[in-house]
Amino acid sequence: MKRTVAVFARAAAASFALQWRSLSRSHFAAALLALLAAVVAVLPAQLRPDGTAGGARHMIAGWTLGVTMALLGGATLWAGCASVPGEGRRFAAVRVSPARSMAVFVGRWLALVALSSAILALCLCGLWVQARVRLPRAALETRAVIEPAEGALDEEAKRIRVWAAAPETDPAREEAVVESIRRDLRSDALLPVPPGVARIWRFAPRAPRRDGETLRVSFRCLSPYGSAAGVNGMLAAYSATGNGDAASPTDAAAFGRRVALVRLDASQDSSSEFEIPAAAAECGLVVVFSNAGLRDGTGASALVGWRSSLRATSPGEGLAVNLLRAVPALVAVLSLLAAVGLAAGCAFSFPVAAFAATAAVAMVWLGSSDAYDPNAAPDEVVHVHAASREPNAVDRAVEKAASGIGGTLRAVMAPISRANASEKLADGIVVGMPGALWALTADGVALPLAFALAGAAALRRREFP
Amino acid sequence: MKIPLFAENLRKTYRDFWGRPRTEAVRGISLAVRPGEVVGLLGPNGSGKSTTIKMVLGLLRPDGGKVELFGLPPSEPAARRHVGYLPELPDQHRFLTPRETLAYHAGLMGLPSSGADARAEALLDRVGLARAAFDKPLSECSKGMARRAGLAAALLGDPQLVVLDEPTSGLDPVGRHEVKELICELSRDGKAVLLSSHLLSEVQDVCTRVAIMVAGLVRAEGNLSGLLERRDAVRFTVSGLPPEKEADCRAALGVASGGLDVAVDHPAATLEEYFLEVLRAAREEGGAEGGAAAVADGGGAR
Repeated sequence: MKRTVAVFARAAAASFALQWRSLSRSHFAAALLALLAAVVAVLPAQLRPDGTAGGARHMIAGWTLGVTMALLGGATLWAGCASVPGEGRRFAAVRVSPARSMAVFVGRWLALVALSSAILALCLCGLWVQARVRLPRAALETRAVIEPAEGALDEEAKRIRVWAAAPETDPAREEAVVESIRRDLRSDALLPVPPGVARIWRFAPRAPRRDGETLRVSFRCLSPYGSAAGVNGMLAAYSATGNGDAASPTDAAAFGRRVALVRLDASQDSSSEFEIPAAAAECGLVVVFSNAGLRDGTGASALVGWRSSLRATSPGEGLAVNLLRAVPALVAVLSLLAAVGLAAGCAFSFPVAAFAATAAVAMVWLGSSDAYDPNAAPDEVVHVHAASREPNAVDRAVEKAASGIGGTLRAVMAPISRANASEKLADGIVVGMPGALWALTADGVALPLAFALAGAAALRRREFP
Repeated sequence: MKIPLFAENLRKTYRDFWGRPRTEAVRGISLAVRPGEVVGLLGPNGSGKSTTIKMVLGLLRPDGGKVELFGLPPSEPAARRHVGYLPELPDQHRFLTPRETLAYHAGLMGLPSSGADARAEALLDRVGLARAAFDKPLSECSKGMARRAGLAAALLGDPQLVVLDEPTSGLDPVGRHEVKELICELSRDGKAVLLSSHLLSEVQDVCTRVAIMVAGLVRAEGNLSGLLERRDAVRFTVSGLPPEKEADCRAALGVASGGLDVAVDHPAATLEEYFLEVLRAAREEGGAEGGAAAVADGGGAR
């Protein structure tokens, strides 16, 4: 057993060294490095921010990192695709050697990840220098998101169910309806808040980390037409001292001591941001958005997401630390792309592998976002052809397959999507270390190993005429 | 001991994308290579030599028949552990140096790194690569030097079966001679060697047995001496015969043979033997140093 492991490790190390030398001694790596250096050096100077600190950070950190990751990710994917087919007849010597296909795959994959990570590290250093030179001090600060308390989502789902419709007589069916609302809240779907109705977020007690610390609360909702204006409402924050048993959204005393109150005007963009002392959340914090509607009691519903609409944040450590926190999640993306490219290259010739891998990545990227129809009932399938004919067995099978594939892809990509490192860096939000490490473990190691199994099997089956 | 290479009734048909048969490359050949044997595969282009070698090594799946390496199918890593293979050109990564090439192959074979460098140097010496080229990228080396590095890589794991596809391709006459000697040495050491080549003289010099393939079939097979011997003619060789005695000898042979045609000629050396003789003489006189090859190869072939 020990000998088998040693032989496997030696073959993997040899494949690693070959792949590393092949890339690092090629013109491809030099050209890529030059291109990325140009992006990091030139792009920030060409971008015209909107004048705000957040806008400048979004432009310089977000765009530059986005372009860098797109180029580096594409290069990693294609280098993976070219790894085996690019060797041509030389690969015959590998196949004739006693090396396991898995060891060959793992060694090459590790080399691709190591090299692309090294290039990424250089780009992040350049990005940090650019940010220090070009961004105002305020834009270099980061904020850590405070998640709503455990149970707050469940409580809100039940509240939504109460005003939405009369309860079902069958308890099981009633529970299924509540569960579908919970699912929508969890997936950050935009749910309507009609006039006279409120949405409530509760945050667990939290001691201030230092004197004078403030918490920032940002809120943004949409009108039913998707625009950022047209909603009248009130946003209030309470230091939780009451029992929370509110008879109505305006029953302020039930939430505790009010620490902030902001009016949202239909003529404005339905967003607001305010700061409160962190000490106000020592016993918990409650934030309430109520849709005031128009004076005559009518008015539009506001579309509100559980996470995207309201964000409570505390001060973070700064851009440099945030860049370091983002590294595992960004490496996970590169690692997955390397594995996908290599697996495709093990099965097909370079043009076919590059096309298939690029198309697959593009489909996953486009398909992993949630489409939301606010007027559709939970879990109801919307048939575009429903008016012309009833769905037949084929339609249902296709829908089931598509839904299954989409759901699987979303579940598989969830760790990277949740870590969301690029967007958080652009928004100045602290990248959560547990989320980033989970993305690296699940999507950066476990999933590539699944591709390694597939790639090694393809390699064993492949013929070399 | 199991036979290093045993193939029986091998068949291979190349197919198009839709699986329709396109070319029947090998149509049922059988082959065995035993320890100490050097078997040559001969045949014109497209006769199925390379396809046969690739099936034997597991690079292609036969459509029919059976292949065994040391009693195991070629897909088994344990079977491939004792096989050394020199593919046809291009066979090596041009960005690696010969030393790195051997380190790479040693890793693939799972050989321990302790002493790997010394073993690599010894092998590179054995195949006649100049020491100055050990750490030079193969892109800067001549084709012959790269071929020598490939040959050293094939011999790295002390294989019991060595498969060589055009081993002297790209080599100069000296290199060819050295490789032929190396193959004979392998045979003397009890290794089994399967060799594919277009150069008939090369095969004649080193092989104990040949199989001549035409259109996917073995048309002739057997020991070289048996195949090449002309039993309908007898040749006498007399060394040091004065020219004036030639006519007497011819007349005597004519009488003795009962009036049959008698040909008398002078045995000739092969061109390779003559070339090597000239080169050896030049070296002895000190006239073989210098020139572009010496600069490019860091001393040239020794």
